[in-house]
Parts: sequence; structure tokens; C-alpha cells
Amino acid sequence: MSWFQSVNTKDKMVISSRVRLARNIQGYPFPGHMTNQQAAEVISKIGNVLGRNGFDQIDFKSISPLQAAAYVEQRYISPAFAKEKREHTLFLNEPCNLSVMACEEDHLRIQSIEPGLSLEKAYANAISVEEMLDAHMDIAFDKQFGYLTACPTNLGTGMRASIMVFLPGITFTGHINSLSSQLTKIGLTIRGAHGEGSEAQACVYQISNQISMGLSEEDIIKKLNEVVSMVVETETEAEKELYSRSHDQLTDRVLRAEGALKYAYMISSEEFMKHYVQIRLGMNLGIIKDIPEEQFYPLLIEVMPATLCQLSDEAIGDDARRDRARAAFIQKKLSKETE
Amino acid sequence: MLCQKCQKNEATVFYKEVLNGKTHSYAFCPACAAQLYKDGEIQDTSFDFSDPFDLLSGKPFGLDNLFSGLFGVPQVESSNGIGKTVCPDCGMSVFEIRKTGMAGCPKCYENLRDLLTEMTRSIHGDVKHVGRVPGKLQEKYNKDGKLDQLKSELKDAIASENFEKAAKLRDEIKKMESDGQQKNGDASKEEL
Repeated sequence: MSWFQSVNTKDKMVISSRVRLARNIQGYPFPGHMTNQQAAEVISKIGNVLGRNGFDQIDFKSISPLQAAAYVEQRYISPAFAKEKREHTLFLNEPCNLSVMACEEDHLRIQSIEPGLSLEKAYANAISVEEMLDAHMDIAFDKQFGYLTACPTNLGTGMRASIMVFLPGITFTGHINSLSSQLTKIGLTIRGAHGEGSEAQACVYQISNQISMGLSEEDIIKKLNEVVSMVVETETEAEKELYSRSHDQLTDRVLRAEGALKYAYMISSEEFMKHYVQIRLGMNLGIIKDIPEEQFYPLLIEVMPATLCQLSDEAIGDDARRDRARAAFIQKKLSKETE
Repeated sequence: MLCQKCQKNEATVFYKEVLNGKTHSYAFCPACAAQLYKDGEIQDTSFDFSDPFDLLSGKPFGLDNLFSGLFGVPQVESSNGIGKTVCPDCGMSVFEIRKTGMAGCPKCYENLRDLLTEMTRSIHGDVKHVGRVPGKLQEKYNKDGKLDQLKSELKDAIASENFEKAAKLRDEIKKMESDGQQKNGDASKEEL
């Protein structure tokens, strides 16, 4: 089961925790300056170690654009990695909670994702991959700069820790910009988790560390955990305020959204996202009680275009057919409430 | 107008650089401009110095590197006073690093330490890593950290005229250093 299908219902506003470590191998230029032969050598070194440790190697030359898009939607790779022209490879483990991008901006981008608020676990898992590799190659490191990375913005720990959160209350009460400027002041950043422009629609954001130098990994994780629990408290307050301020309108919107998802014959990604926000907010506020969280929460990723095709075992190129398949998929999942 | 570098030939290459929001203009003869470019002192790779008029064609305007000028970094000087502007390991010049905001290889950080220290300061507000050390280096860095601490304690002991403590610390430091040398010696013997 992938990370987005295992639900941690304890943290209603926290979707997932992710840790990404940027690492490079001593003796090679950074990927932007490598020859194809050097890149192939680096990938083979990495593959030798990861292959023995339960990782599958996914060669981007042989997979379809649809499969590549599904990896982006499921956050195993960056959009830039999917489009990369140079030699590059993805390594993915069996439970699909660990991925390694070889030859992205750095030789290694080790990424670990866990459902809910679980940065410590995500960090420990990512470090276990670093240790596997460190035993067989020299990781580029400097006493002053820490882990050496192609871009100095990643120096130091080479770590980007991020927590994906669902914040409809803060969004609808108009406080997202204020939250963003306060986070910037303490070296953190918040951005839409579904690509540019979609964040307002989905109310899903990613809060992550901006600074990777001068703080230890533990300090970064501690700071993010503290900040996210404060954000979650604020979100709870904002949702309550929204509910008390406009009880009838909000209840109407939530129930209409539920009706749309349950009975629509065709539904686009954008329309789904709009209803998803209302229903999940309604579940938080107790307006909707009969939709199981474990069935509903994962829809956020499951019905994205490429992932939907992957889960339906069919490459659906036609938009209208895909919208029909999406509506059917959602209804099948929601009907499980009565099973 | 005479070349600002050699002060002999006519200047036909005009070079502008924006550092920390200030524009600096220079005028060079083609020979000096070519040499400066070769040394990494000036940056535009689209220039063809065999034909100074090519400057007019320049390179296309883009916003890709709009903020790279924020990393306005002074000329990197090595200890002997000669400007070090290219990483000898990968050939990446100071100007390319400033322009793209990216290093070429891990060795750039060692070879162009001053430049990259300044860039790091402007990004992170800090220039000293305090987190994890890769497994293989942990023993070495833990020992280095301990040595630094002992040396600082020795300094304090001497300053406060606590000579008994200073003597003990000095012996401890000597022992740690000679153990390290012994270990290094053994390692190089093994390599042979």
C-alpha cells in the first residue's frame, strides 16, 4: 500500500510527513556538469547497493509519460526529474515509502514519506538509506559546509523536511498570506502542495524548512513539529469560527458537495478538488459522519489523472472518459461506507 | 578611450556588472578582455573576443538568473593575493557560480571556499554546519571537536594562570595528536 493510501486518522489536518536528503558522491562533478558516462557510472554504483536492499530500479527511458506523471502525482519524483533529458533513474522500495532519485540536481535525492505527522520516522528511514550507501561510497562532506550539494541553498544538513497539511479554515478566513509571512520570518516556508495555482482550490499546503545550514536535523524537525501543531490548533479554531459564523451556508455547501461526489456521472479533477475540500471540512466539523476517513482521504491522490489510470489499469487519454472513470471510482469508494 | 587594464590599447569592449544593486562599468581592449574572460574575471560566454562587434549580439535576455546578482560576492583572493577564480577540478568559474547560483563539483567548495562561504552566508545567514556527519567520518570529526575543545580550555587555563591544569591539558592534546599521527601512519602503511 502506498503512503497516500495508508491513513493516519489521528491527525485530521496533517496528510503526510516527508524528508528529503540531498547527497553527492565524492570524485564526480554534480549532475549538471556530468558526462552521460559519468552519470551511468554513478547510477550503477547506487543501483548496486539499492538493488541488494529491496529497491526496484525504474528506468525513465523505458516508462510511458503516463507512468512518469503518476510518479510525480504520488510525489516520488519532482516534475523536473520526469522531464530530465540526461541519464537519470528512480529507485523505489517495496512498501513505496522510500524513493531515491539518482542524478537529479544532486547525485542522490533520498526521499522518505510517512502518512500523518511522523517526521522522526521519515527522517530515520531516509538516514537508513544514506547509511546503506555511505558504506559503499564516499559521500561528499565538508566540516564547514556539511553535506556538499550542487546548489548552496541545500548545504549543511542537505535536508528538506516538509509536512503536508489541509487548511480550509485558515484559507477561507483569509489568513494564509499572514501565516506565510510569519513562517518566512522563522526560516520556514508554506506553498501549495498541488502545483502552482491549485493550492487555494485544494487547501492543501506544504510547510517546510527553508534553511538547512546552522541547525541540526533534530532542531529542524523539532521546529517544524512545534510550528505545525500551532498551525493545526489555529486551523481548528478557524474551522469552528467559520462554522459558527455561517452555519447554514457551510452545511449546505458540504452536503451539496457530498451529493455531487455521490451522484455525478462525470467529474473533472478541478471539480473533484472543490468538493473534496468541502466534504473533508464537513467531516472535521462533524457535519458528515458516515463517510469513512480511510476511504475518503486517499482520493486526493487516487483520482489525479495519471494515478487514476494506473489504479484502473487503463491508459485513458480522452478527458471525458477519464471524468466518467473518476466519478465511478469515487462512487465505488464512497459506497464502502455501507458495506 | 584607453583600456583600463593595460592602459595602452584602445578600449573596444565595454563590460557592465551589477553587484549588490550597483552597476560597475569597465572598458578593455580585445586582448585584455579575452585574457580576463579566460581567467574567469568577466563572465559572458557568448562573447567572441576575436570580433569585438559580436558583443552587440550578446546573449538573449532572460529572467532565469535574475536574482543571482543578489549573491554579490567580492573578488576571491587567495593568501598570496592572486585572485583565484576557477575551480581547477571542474573548470567552473567564480562568475559562472555567481551567475547560475550552482557549484560544478564537490571540490568547488574547497577550491573556492571564500566565494561559497559568502554565498552560503547570504542564503542561510550562517556558514557553519552543526548537524549530522556521515558515518565514516564521525570518529574523525568527534575527535577534531574534542581537540578543539581541549585547545580552547588550554587557552583559558593559561590566561587564568592555572598552569597545573594547562600542563595536563597540553599532555592530553599531545597524546591525542600523536595517536592520530600513529593511526594515519598505520593507514598509509596498509595502503602501500
